[in-house]
Amino acid sequence: MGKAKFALRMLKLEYQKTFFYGLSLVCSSAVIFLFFNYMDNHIIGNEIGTGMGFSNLLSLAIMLIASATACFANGFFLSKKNEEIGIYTMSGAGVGGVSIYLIVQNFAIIIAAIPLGFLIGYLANPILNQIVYSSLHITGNLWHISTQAIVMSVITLLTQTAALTVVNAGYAYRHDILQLLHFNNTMKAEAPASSIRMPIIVYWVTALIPLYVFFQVPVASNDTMVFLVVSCVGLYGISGLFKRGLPQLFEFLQRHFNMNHKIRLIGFGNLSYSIARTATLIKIIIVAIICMICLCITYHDDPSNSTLIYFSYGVIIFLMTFCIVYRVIVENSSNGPLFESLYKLGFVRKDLKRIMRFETLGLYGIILFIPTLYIGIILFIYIQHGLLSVAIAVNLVLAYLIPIVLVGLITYQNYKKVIFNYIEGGH
Amino acid sequence: METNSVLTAKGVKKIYGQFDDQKVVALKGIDLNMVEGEFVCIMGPSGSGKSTLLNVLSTIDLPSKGFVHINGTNVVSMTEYELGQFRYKNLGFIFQEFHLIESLTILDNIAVPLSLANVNKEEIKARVEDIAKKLNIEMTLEKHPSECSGGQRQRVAIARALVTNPRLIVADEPTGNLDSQNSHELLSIFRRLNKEQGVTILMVTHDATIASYSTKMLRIKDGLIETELEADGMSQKEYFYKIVEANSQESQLEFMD
Amino acid sequence: MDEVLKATGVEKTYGLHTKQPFKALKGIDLTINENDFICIMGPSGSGKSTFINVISTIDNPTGGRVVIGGQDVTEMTEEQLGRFKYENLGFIFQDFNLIGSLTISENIAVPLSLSHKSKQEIIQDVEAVAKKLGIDHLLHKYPEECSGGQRQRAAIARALVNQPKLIVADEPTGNLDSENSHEILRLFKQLNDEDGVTILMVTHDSMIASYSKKLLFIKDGELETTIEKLNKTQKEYYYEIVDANSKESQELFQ
Repeated sequence: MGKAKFALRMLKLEYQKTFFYGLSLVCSSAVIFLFFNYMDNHIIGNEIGTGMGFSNLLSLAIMLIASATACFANGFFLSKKNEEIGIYTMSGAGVGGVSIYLIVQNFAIIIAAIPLGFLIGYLANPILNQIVYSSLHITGNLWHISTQAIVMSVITLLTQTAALTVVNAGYAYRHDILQLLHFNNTMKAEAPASSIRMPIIVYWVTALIPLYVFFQVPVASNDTMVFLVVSCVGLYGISGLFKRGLPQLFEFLQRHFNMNHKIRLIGFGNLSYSIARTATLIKIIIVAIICMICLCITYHDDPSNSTLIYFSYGVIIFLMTFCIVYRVIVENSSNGPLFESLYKLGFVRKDLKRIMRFETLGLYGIILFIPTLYIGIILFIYIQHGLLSVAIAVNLVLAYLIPIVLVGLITYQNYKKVIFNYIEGGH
Repeated sequence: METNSVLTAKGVKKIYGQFDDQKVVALKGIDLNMVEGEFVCIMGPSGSGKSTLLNVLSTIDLPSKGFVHINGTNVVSMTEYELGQFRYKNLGFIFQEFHLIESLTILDNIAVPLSLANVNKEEIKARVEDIAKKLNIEMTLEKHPSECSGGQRQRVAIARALVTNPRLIVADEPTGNLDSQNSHELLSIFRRLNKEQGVTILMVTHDATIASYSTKMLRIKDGLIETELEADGMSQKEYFYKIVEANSQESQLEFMD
Repeated sequence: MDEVLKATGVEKTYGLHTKQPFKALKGIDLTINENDFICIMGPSGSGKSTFINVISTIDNPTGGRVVIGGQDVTEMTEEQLGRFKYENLGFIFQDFNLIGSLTISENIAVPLSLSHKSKQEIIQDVEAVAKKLGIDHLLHKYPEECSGGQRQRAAIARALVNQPKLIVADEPTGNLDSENSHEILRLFKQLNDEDGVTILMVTHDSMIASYSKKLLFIKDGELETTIEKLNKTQKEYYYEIVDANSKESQELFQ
């Protein structure tokens, strides 16, 4: 197995390239392990496969999201290998050879990451149990581990591994030598969609309608379904806004207000570009946050379910922010040439920093603002009806606010570093 | 087909774009026959299709119409799996960028094709050392690419292309990142390989001085072969001026006086 | 004639504090007067790109002085330099460097956004320069929707829009086919002849260089040859340039 041996050697030599991928696999294994353990904790009366149809559904969602995170990270891992794969292809490796190469590396990473993830999960387990037990006022073995949970975790991770393997094998097919060798992700506007065009006003109306309807629907203490449905209608509008409404709005602002503003002129262009590139992910995050908050409201006085939901909520936020920061950082790093030419045209560092700040603020502002708009009203209505305490509402909002603000800061710092490195001749 | 024909192309067309209104015809029907031991250089203005032709002739890209035979095998109908094997046995690629792997030593970089093909360690070492000696880079074998000069790195890339003993070397602007001294050294190596070992070479360049090392020059314009020039008996200088003339004829018409 | 740029003893050494410092420029003098059209050539690695970067304030020299419009640019702070760049210099690059997310008119407006002009003034300036370059019908398109030649025209419009004292063009035709290249160069010549724009250009293509008025050939970080067009025809000038470029190579021929 010459290729396999070579693949492992390269992995050892270029271990930095795999750091993020490995980390995300460790995180997702840890999360999956913890989650199944909780689901099958007999001490608090949970058992996998009995009753609780809804929590089974929830666990499925978590597993999917954890796997999606791993896939995201895998895509990043592959994109860093383009030139390398190009070299192998021109050296006569062929599709089969490249697939074997990628799969071997992938397996090596997975074999290292999963046990590590389990170990972290095992160590974090007592902390979680402590929280759960104290909230339920029971005592029990903090180190409780269920065999059933381990089996389920292993099955989930194997499924994930299989999916990643298919992705890796497919990667070799989709790319030819030239694409791989001359891989450059410079800015390119998306081709205009040619499908039937809805007037943009429809999107605006649909997005804003929930703000009115929320106040008109009946409020029930443990049923948020109606709010969820209304939000989903609104999300259709938001999704259209991402695709066409916001770019159009930005264009309007550019043409009429920003021609003489050095920061906004560039900033809005970049922002509309980053939104286009990350729209899918942003939409998923918004949906997830709204769904989870509605669930939290529904079950907040049902102690056995609420802990599970809060826990899932935390996990989802964690994985989602992980994905978004990842994606944005990748996108930002392709802006080097743009900032370099601005620098040559007479923009100084201070200007460039302000553009980056504008862009980052804008993007994370949108990620925060849209769900907060809906959630804020929903929470407000429940508080008004005396069905929810202000403390819980604030906690629910802070739970996504803080992580997203945090990753926003990380993104900005990283953006500055990447761009100034590029300008100073790191290319 | 002639027995010593290395590459034959017939009626090669390349069309980009799927819909009628966006179609761009990059190659409009090219016929070409390269015999063993030839050193062919493709020239042409940017956008003329010269790189597309090189790619189509060397299995990197597929023609939309027509066929390409290398060593008697039709490469157009090969599966992805066969192509890998075929490239390994028959082709050596050299590009403008050197495309070396930074984390590997020079020795390991040159050995990449052999490592992937499962050749045993002793043989790899022997073959790499042999080729490195020929290209005068044996003292760099333990170094990493970042510790070598541009000229050395391009020679490493050549060594990697040659280590499998290919019948055909395909080079796309191989001197694009080299200064003139190194460029001429590189071309001298090409000429030696071509004359002494009978390696067939197909090269794209925009530089007439570089092209003057070849034995035959093809000028592509608008997807067709416009001019064919053979070095036959000319001195390199005479051949060089012929190439300059062939390439500037049309532009000179644009001159304003 | 007014002096636009004066470079004296320009040196650039890379890796100054390492074991093997590399001298890319070994002391070059150059004076550019108003309405000059100077072309710099030289083999790759000769230092021509370094030279153009140093005299156009993009890079700092490690020795010597560069004076543009009477001001020593080597002693300016970053802020002063930024201001100086958009007031005095217009840049044209090989890969156009237009911003993909902005329309052509916004791209052209980028240098003006650094000034203190009003929106109306900016829009007027952009439209005027676009008309001059024959791209006024493209103003609301995105770079992606334009051809290579159109994009390079937009880049030239961006370079001209602030009426700079000096246009610096680094391989402006590197990504264009020959027809578009000649068109762009005719445009340069027209700007130079009719509007008195001063141009400094780097190219590797003798054909392109033959549109200039003066050719500087750089080798190993030094100015090796200077050729002036004077009253020669473009063809005669072209062959002189070819010879200057291939002199060294021909010595290596067998």
